[in-house]
Amino acid sequence: MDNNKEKLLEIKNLKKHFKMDRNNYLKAVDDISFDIYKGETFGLVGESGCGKSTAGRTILRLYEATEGAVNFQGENVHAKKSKKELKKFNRSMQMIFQDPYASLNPRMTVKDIIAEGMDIHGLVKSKQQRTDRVNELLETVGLNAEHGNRYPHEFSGGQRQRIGIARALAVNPDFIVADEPISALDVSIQAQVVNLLKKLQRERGLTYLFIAHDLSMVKHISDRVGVMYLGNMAEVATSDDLYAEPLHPYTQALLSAIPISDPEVERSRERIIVEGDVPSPINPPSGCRFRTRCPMAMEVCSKVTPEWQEYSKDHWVACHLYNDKYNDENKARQNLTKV
Amino acid sequence: MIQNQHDNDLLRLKNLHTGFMIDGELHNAIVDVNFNVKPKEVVCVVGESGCGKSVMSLSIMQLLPKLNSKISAGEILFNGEDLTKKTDKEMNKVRGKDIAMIFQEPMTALNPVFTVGSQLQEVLFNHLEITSKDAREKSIELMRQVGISRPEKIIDEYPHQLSGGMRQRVMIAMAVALHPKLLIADEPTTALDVTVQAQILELLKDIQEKEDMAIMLITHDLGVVAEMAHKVIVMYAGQVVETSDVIKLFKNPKHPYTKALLNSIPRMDRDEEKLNTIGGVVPSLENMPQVGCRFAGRCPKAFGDCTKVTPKIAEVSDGQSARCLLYEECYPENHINEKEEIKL
Repeated sequence: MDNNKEKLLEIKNLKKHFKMDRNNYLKAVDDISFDIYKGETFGLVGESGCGKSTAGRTILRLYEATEGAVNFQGENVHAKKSKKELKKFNRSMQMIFQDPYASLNPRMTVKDIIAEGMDIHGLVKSKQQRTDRVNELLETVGLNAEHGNRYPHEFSGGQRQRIGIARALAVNPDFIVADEPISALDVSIQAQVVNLLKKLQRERGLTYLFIAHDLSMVKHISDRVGVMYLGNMAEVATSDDLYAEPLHPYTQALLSAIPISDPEVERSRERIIVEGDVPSPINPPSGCRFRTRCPMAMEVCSKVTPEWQEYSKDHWVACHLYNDKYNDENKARQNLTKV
Repeated sequence: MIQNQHDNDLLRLKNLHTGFMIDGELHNAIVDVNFNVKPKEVVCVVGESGCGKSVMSLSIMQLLPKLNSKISAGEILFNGEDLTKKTDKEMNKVRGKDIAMIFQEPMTALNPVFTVGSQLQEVLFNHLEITSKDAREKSIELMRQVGISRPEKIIDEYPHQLSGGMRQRVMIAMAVALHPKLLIADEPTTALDVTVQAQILELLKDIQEKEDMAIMLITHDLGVVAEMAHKVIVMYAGQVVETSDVIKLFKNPKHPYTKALLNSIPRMDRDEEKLNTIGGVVPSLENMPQVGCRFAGRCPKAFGDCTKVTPKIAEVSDGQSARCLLYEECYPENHINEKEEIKL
């Protein structure tokens, strides 16, 4: 599978700026590029406010991109399109939302919520077919047909998230953006939902963009992971590489910040604790955006924006430590072993 | 003998029951909660949402609305004094001074229309005879202690101007202002990012050591427990199902619920294809089984007795107590007689 990976999505220099007032722009997503291969789960992580949700939404064209392109199966999602053409994209790309309480209309029955997409895209011909399809979907996500006639408030958080998943599946999409689908759930329920997502992927060949801030869960579910910081992509690698050999100081700090659920390991390890908070994306630091909190910041970091480079195979990073122009290889290696 | 064992307890809950009125009936949200906190000890309370962690901490602080809730039985002994018998006025002297609390939502816990400084000083004015100039100076000093840079400036800012991490630092400054002996922290880092969470936990550890303060930390994150706790209390559906020393808990959990909980989190240092799950959900307050173990319906090891016999909590090995019929010790005393009666 590794040799003939087929690109499903190609994100090229994508930017999304929100206008704050006449002179100020909030650069939520600022020039990110990466590919998502068919059938994989791409995890996107970062702290709140780093632009990961905006990136997910812009990829689906829920937000219009300021610049850049998103090629889905070779076609640019953000190109000029008629409503009809857009609809085609909407069918193949779906979203699961973070908040299972806010993302379901409280005045619709579960059946209508799930069937709404099918109605819009004209996927069912008769009432009977509609009911059958909804029941089938409910069963797929581990609920039963009887649940279809109830309203969202009658369900627990985990069950609601299952309804959200059924809704996304209703139109047979190829690609699903899951925006923090498990953050609002309890640990034991999180595991249920993650197992369900994995099972569906196996059965239906789905491709996921899995957005989360919980790195241990992201490692578990993802094939490859991208780390975002303040609108930029800091590092992209396969999940094993990223956790075994994180290159960017931010990734290292992020990994080190997660408490490990084993008191003996936890208490004996050394942690890197970055100081301060994420700066405002309205007026981000010059050069490398992480330099204000970076324990290894150099002089050049404030002047030059680091290049997005492939450091080793399939391992991309944007950091001057790995650029021979500013830092000889030895030094980078030293830093690595230190961590 | 037993008396001596609890002599130096800072906080001791004895047989605590707290209930809410639903449709004119009292339903107990927490049942038979017993544990103790020693001075300078960090005790973590874990459990899923709705298991009664917060109700318990609010009971200790006597902060539950009197209108629809009630501590229906039990004692809360703080330094030997029963808090449930104190009047509101007496409690006001305890709250903030001897026992302080920080909450999950740093945004809603601070008043948006007052500056950070005035809220900090309010604590000082309430408990100390202090001039406003001294109060201001002390507030700045406190903010510096909790790692807020530029406290002279921040003191005049409003909560919305601060980030989540900063707000939580302000809350901590307020909580430790009067050197409490016990700090109750209800999910203090749940709303924060991991990097900020690491900062806040580090700060709490630091203050705990410097001030010789005990902390009761409520959380659902077992990683946080592993990092902070000396002792762990696992709650399920309003009951304590296991209390244990932290190392023993992670190495050798006794209760099936604790085991399931530990198995359902992915480990960074391990690779598993499928996560273990706990089927079903916590039963709601009205549908709580009256007889038998409350976890029986979701328990992989449940057997016949589980739905018929209500287990009691008992020490099952050194330093570990559990509430589960898999252990002989947990059968109630009169149970053997019951069995015989059935035979007859």
